[in-house]
Amino acid sequence: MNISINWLKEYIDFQGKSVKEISDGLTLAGLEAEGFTELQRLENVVTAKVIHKEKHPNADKLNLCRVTDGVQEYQVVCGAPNVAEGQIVPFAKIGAVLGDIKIKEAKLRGIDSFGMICSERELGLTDEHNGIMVLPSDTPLGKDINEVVGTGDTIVEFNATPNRPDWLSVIGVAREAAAVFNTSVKYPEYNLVENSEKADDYLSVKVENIEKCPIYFARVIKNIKIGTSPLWLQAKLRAAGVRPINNIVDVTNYVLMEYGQPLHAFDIRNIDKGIIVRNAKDNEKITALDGKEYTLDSNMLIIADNSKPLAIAGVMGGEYTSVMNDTTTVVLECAYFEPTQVRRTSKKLALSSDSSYRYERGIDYGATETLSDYAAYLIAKICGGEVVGGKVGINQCDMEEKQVISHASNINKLLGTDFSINHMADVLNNLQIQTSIDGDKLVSKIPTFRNDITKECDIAEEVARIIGYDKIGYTMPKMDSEIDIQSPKVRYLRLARNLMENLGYNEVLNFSFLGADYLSIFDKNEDNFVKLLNPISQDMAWMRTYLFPSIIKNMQTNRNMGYSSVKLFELSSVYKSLGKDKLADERLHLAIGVFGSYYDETWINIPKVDTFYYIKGSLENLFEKFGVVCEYKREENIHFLHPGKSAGIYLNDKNIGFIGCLHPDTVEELNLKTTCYIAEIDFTALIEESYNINEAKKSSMKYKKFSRFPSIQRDLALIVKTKINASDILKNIAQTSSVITDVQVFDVFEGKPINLGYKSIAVRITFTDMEKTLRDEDINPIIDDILKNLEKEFEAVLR
Amino acid sequence: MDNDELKKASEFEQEIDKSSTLDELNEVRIKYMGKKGIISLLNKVLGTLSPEERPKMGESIQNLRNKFEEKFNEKTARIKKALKDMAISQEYIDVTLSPYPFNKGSLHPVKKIYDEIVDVFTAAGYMVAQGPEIEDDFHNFEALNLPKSHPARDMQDTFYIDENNIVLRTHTSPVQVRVMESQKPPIKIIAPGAVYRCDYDQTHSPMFHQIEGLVVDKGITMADLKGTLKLFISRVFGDDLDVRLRPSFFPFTEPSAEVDMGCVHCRGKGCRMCKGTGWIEIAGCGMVNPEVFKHVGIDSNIYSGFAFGMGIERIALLKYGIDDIRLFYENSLKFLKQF
Repeated sequence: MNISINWLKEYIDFQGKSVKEISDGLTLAGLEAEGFTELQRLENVVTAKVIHKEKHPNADKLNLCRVTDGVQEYQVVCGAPNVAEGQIVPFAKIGAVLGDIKIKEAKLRGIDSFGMICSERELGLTDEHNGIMVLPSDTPLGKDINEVVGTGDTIVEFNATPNRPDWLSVIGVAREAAAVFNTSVKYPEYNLVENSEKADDYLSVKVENIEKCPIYFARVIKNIKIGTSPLWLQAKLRAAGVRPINNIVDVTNYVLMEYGQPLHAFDIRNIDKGIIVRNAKDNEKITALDGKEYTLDSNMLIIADNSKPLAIAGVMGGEYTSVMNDTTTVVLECAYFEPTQVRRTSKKLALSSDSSYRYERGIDYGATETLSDYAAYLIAKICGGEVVGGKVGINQCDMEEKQVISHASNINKLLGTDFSINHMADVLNNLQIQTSIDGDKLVSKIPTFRNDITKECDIAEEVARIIGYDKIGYTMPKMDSEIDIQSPKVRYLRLARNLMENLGYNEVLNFSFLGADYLSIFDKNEDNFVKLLNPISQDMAWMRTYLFPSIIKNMQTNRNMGYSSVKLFELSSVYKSLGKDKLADERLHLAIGVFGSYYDETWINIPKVDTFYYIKGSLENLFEKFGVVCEYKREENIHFLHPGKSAGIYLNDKNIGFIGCLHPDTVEELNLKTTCYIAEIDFTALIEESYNINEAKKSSMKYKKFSRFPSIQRDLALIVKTKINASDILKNIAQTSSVITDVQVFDVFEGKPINLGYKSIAVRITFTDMEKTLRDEDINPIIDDILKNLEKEFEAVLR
Repeated sequence: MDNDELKKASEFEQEIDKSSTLDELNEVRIKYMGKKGIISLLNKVLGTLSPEERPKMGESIQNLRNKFEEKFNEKTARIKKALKDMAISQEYIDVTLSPYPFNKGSLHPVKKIYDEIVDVFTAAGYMVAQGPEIEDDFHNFEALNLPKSHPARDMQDTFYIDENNIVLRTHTSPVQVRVMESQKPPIKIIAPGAVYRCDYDQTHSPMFHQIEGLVVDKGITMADLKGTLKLFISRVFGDDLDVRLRPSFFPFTEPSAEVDMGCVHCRGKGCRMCKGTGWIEIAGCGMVNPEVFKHVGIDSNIYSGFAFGMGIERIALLKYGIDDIRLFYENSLKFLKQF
């Protein structure tokens, strides 16, 4: 809500406080000042009349004018197309400063000019610069322009929180300021004069849905003359951010801004007999003031007459019944519509207005009836005309002020303070919450503009924020809670991320949503996806079921930035749909993506191996830290992975992820230019297993006896078919004898002299006995067994 | 036996002295001590001597042998030492060459701040709680005193999954509700995690992270909340920054406040970053609204509590002086490798 400080000062005596002091005081009471617009005070600018105009002799687009400020005449060159004799205009004399422009005596195309006729923009009022500003014809000459157009003011943009609709009006802010600065509010005075006619004779009002519209009053004002509003009114509306339209509309907007009470004026000529407040019919249509047609339904409340909808209740009036230039009799609506009703309608129609904004937050229904009188008075005063006697309508609202009882001791207990009960009562009374003291009890009557206050803690907040949150001390909670060690999940996450960092990966963080088209490349089962109904864009529409698609994008980004080697990881949640109206299955995943050389450029000759093994090494490192053992099985059926260079990862025979090279087709489809390696594991499964193992170890881990005798090693070079898995050979060897304590592959070779389709695998076998030093005689028979088994299982032969 | 032979045998001394390599030395050894060496041959002479002369001669030969061994060993050690010294003096590597390229990784700046904040609170005895990111309306709104059709729902632009019931959580506050549903006071938790709002520009990201804190017990006060926030800010940003609570509104707390801290850039003096106010908004907080307690079955006549929530990206922006939140999610290595 934009508040003009000058306007505010009409209700409050700030005793010389600066704008900053005023806005700081309100900010610290919860009404935050978010921005300031200064309307510069203008010197040497006065009202003047154009008494003569002729074409500039040397320029087509310029005029030569004479203006008078009532004392003196001035010759001035004016380029505005709308300048005309008889106009009253803002006139900047020599010496005036308008923003960056300093008015000096000037020669324009050979003619002397002694000042400038100003546009609204030049005065700093609006962006209007199509012509000069024309003031009403009854404006006195020679008047200080600041008094006429409202410059020399500061507009403060206050952020009213949703619980305080009363702050959406100048009077509401004034009331708050009165409490903050311990002073009182001067309310505007008025004196309504009604003629002897009866409004009842002009129209009837029938409210069919009293629950949604407990207060509705119509007043009739006749013989009005539509025109432009007086400048003070226009200035105030502009300050509040409202565009002046005509005097009737301007008065309704003025009361809206001053008191927060929405009003609506209908031209009586277009009302068929009377007003009916009723629910709309399904598919009933209305063209609103914004010129658009809206289709209504039976849950919406409308103002109608006997033949058609006139307005969408609390949201917007209809175009058909709006006030026209030749309107002479208006019906002024002053009503209270139930907040949720207005909000639902506004949401559903995607149509909001200054009125709906206030109605849906809750207006001061206690003031509605009297404001109907005040508004009628203002219309008669500003637009001429007379107010027809009485108002037609109903007030079915419970007007009794609600009582809230609170205890000073409880308030102090909640705040951690020792404010006195008298101090509390004073604060509340200053806020116009009438409060009396009864022992420890504060008995408060809640005014109708403060419906946010219903219970003790609300009173506590009022007390605390006006006395000042800075008067509350600093203590620490005193409670018997044990110091908690990091929960296992947090510990595991930290462990994994630190390990990945130390292994040289850069951690990335991506949005949880990606485009449907993109995600479908990797996960073809559409039912898996959780989909957003209102995504920001189509490439942020579905929740990801894997992390690696994001990482592939990250790798592309960095490749485009010139990186030739990239190693990334992410540890985040993925989401799998469990069906409509259900929460999703959320699991943590760890994903890795690598392209380019694994190590940075170096002079050291590091043997190059397939990137697969680096990633596998990283994962093994992780698994070891977590105390779990995983198996890798050749995986040929993941469509986005290279069938010859991919593996499934298994924990206790359950698949928990994969590792591999992107399929050349996928690389092509994504236009990646270079292949990359990815791995993704179900981190939730990993930590569950690790947690179980570690918990079990806590109670049952025993040390294993080890042999004091030296181990003996033997190497075997075997020739097998290329597609025989090394892990199968190792497993087979290991189970041959209990004295075999370790088997490792130490060389793999393909190519001449080995036949095509075969490879040589060299293994080193370690033998250890608990009781003695092993000799050749002990080992040779075992080696024979090993070779026999390998030949049988894998057709392996000794090289 | 004549002294000539002894004299000749004792010439080894000069020869050992003259030797400069281990090979030469070895030749000297063979020449004197070998089977047919000069000293060895002296033994043969021994047999020809009279029993009276023999012991004396024997002793002379033994002396000669001992002397040889001593001299020989000493010279051998000298040469070996010289050789070793020479070898060492020739061994040389360029210690300024770049090392073995162990990769240098990095942690994401948002996660780093996240870790830091979690550590501050776990050290103060808070338990880490977590909840789903895809939430139902009850936990994200209703139980937090944000009924349907409440204008305060406009404060958070929500991503919807289902028309009415399922949303991407707009804050970490639903974790409060889930914890209080399953656990009775005393409660002392933080709930960090990703949250989502339908907003995307230089200062708003549709996904970002929050940390929520909740303390519920008998006698918890707003002063406790202030003390806790002051401790947090001093641990994360330094001791010299002031903390200010400014009244505000959240449906799930009453009283509610925004937390301002002294500007990290000008340390409270006033600068462009804090729009000259010296204050920077960093968190929202308040005393748990009895309406929320009602939803989770905690008696607000017995218990009170405070809650606070803050955006981690915002803290990271402030701490690292970053001016565009989108940098966090672009994942450029030029950015990531700085952390």
